[in-house]
Amino acid sequence: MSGGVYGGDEVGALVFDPGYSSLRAGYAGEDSPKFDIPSWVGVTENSNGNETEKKYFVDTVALHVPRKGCEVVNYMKEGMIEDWDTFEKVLDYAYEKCIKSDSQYHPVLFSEATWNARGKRERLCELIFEKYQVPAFFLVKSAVLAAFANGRSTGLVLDSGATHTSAIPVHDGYVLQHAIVKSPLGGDFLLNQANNFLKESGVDIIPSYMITDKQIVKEGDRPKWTKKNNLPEVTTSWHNYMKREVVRDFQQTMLHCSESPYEEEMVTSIPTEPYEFPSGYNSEYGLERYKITESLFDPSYIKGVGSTMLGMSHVVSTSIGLCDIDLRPSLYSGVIVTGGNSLLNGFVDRLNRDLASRTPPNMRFKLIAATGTTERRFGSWIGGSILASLGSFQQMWISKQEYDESGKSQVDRKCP
Amino acid sequence: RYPEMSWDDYISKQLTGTGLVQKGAIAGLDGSVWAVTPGWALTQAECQSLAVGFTNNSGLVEKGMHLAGEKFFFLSATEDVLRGKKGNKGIHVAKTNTAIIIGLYEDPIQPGQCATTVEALADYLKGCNF
Repeated sequence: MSGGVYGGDEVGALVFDPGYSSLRAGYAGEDSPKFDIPSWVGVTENSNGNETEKKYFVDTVALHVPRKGCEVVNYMKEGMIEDWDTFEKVLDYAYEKCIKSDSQYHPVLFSEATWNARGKRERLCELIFEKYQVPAFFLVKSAVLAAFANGRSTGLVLDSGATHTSAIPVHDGYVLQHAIVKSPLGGDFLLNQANNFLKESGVDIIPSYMITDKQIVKEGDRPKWTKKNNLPEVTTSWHNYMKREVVRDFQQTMLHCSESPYEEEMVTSIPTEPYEFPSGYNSEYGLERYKITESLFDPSYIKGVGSTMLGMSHVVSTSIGLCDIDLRPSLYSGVIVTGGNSLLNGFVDRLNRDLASRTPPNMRFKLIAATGTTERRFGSWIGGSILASLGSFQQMWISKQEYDESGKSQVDRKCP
Repeated sequence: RYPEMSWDDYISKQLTGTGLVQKGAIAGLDGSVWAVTPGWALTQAECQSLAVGFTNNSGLVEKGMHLAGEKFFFLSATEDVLRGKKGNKGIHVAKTNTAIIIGLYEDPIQPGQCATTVEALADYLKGCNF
């Protein structure tokens, strides 16, 4: 048996998909990740004389408890792992509390940002083999995995996530690096826009951890709520994180994309929807729901910032335009939409409309967007699950033996 | 002292001899072909545009990679490595101080296998100051 072949049937491979909003983890072969661990981690630092002891609070349950001096950090930056110490703690948590099995028994497949730096790839390879002693490892670009999850190995992947939206052309499982187009307009951008809007309308965001009791008030009236007793002194970062969670819920329920370019008269005719905040304050929202999301497709709507940013359909067409002319038909006929932010109501319909008008006349245009919420939020993870369980993939892993012989640079050779 | 090997030997023993590279070639940075698997008609112009691609890939992006008249889609370029693909065939090109090493693979050879073989030869030659 050559060094690289692993019995795909016997020991299950693990698939990890780290992102800015969460780390998706689970077993290869399953249709969705069993664990979705937020990338936001609570950290407390206690100095006893010379030593500083750091304690980490990982995952929603531990994170949402108000603690004195607990700061909230995110170990990801620009889609890549930045804070390795915190990341290690989250991985430890994943193995101990979620997977509940020794790391040395499971081959590991990791997804990575399409523009991941070489140093970071090698560092991850080193960490996984040295600390966790895994039997085999592989690294795949998340755009490629998202394409696989939709049954394709070629297409233009439009990944709209928390920190940014990017158009990544994939040809036969390879990312065409020179044609990637990134835009900072993603879920968190919308969150900030929604936050600004609520602040301007005079709504006080009270996070739920502070509220012990609330009374029913009429629409638009000042909320009447009672503050919890004995709340510990929480840090600003933690308090702001909890406030953002409130706005996130507002963003995910209320925001809607207009089917066609925003027109004030048309939108005003759509009935308003009510929304109640944790404090009890409730109001009806109409116009704003559509206006906030319009900036995704038409950046001239963004207040304050110049409109040099690209709208969603622009991002797609620019990216395809940077590719070899012979590849363009296969890219236009396979635009794959993935990422949590794409679940925004009306996002896919609007994108379909905008892109159809932007496609050159002689090309066939087709938008592929999985209908289920899990398929889009966990697209890359699902692709990883499919790939790691394929028989033909088993010879592609980097085995521990190969790593011991050739070192971490094997990751550049075998994981394009 | 390393055993004396001709450039042709490097191809037949270190590249195609492993079974992990279907056709190989070694060319200078100016494109002049030093050795090539018999029958593979690479031209100096083709090799030169590959050599240039390590520092400036705009030509490869626009026109693709051409070898013996066959067009491969340009996938990626770094300072040391170029990759190209066409259907179930592909090329992996590595750069040393004075030369470029070209490896062609076809199904069932895996891209990773060809990559490892070509880059291992490149590392060896760099170690000999080539």
